[in-house]
Amino acid sequence: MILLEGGHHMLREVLELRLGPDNAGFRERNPVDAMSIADFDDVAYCIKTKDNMFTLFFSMPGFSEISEYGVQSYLNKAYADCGVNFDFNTSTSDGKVFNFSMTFDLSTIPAIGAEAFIDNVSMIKRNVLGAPFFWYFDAIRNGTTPDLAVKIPYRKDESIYLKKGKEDSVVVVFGVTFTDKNDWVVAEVFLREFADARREPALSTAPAVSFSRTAPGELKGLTVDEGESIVFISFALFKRHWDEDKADASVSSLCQFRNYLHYHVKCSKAFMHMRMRKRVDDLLQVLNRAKPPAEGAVERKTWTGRSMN
Amino acid sequence: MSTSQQPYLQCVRSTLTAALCLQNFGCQEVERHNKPEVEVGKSKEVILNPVVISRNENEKVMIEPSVNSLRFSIKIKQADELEEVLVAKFMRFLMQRAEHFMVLRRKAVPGYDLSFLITNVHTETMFKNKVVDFVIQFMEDIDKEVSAMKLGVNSRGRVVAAKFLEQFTY
Repeated sequence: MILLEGGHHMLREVLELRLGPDNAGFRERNPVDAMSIADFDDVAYCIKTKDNMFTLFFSMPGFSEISEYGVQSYLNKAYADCGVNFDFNTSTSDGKVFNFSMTFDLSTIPAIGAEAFIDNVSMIKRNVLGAPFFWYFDAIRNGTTPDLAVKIPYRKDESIYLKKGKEDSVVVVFGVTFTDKNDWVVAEVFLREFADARREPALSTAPAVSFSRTAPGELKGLTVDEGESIVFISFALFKRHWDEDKADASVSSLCQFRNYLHYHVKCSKAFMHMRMRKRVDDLLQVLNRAKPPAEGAVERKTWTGRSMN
Repeated sequence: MSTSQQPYLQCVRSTLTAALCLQNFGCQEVERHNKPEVEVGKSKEVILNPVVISRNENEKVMIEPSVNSLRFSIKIKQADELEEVLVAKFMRFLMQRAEHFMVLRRKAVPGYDLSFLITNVHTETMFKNKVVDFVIQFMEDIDKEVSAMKLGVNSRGRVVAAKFLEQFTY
């Protein structure tokens, strides 16, 4: 598995078992009191079912900054005609604070079909994180982009920055931290490949990627968290990447980029461990050849050639 | 790659075979003690001159013989940061398992990446030429392993980048 899954697997599973009139029996036998689920980037969900109503509570650090960029209107648009009610007031449950909740009826399948609806709900985090992107793309179309870059602080110490570039291109800058120096060395190799990937003929239309340890020029004028372990990775998206129908796929990929990078860095470390362990075994075998065989293992033969057992 | 290394490894092999003439020698300072003299380093007459065999300034081997023990230190070629990290990880991995390897030293001599300590007990219980074979094969294997891991990281990087950017191009 090279690319990370789009939605959240647990949300998908919980819904698949319960959605629709066919699953009424399952719903009755398995009510959910309060199921806590975690996602990447410190996002937390809480699921509650009561009779046939399903409520999903969502919490994300940095939500208040992100909600300035049209999250409510984007969510309402994304889940229109699905019978979903949003409640954008903060609520607390078991001591955890949630930013908003969404409720819908499990007994009816919405018009777009069960699978598409379940997909959509499991991608709730991507929808929340992607809303500022769509807001920015609209702003470019209307010519109302702010002068400074837009900052989306989706993680502690890490943010995504959006800035309009030349000729309708959008520059998306990720500020990514690497706490371990070994992680950084491997990630640097990966990032160099990202920057060079455009040389392949198949990828010549892909966004241009570059990275640097200092904040790029697009972020001038903003207070940017810089530091020893922070690197800035810039994606230059051309109009064909963010226009109309392509925007969905581009935003989904970008929302997962940081986790994708870290996941593969850790995979490389695991691969190296595997190789080292195998090599140690091989070397031990060679060393064991240096020891003479144990006393009792030497076959004893009589003078005429018969062996004693 | 390994053919250009042959003269170097041949030289190391013959020097090591010559230096591995170890015999039991009780400690001269403390009664009834028997220590590897190269580690103690107190009596000048039981320690022989150390020999350094270098291929270039980044790759060398130091052999410190004495009457009952021998210390063999390797400095492995590390061309860039990634190789440095790989070598450091690999050495740490090996040194943690020093007990299994018997002849490996838990800490490398300063200035080198890895050290072996071979004593007269080892040469008495194991075939001497096989021990030398082991050390030479060890040196070859480490170089091969580091290049293989570096290649693995590079090809993984290529696949990771290609897969991700493909999503934008369909």
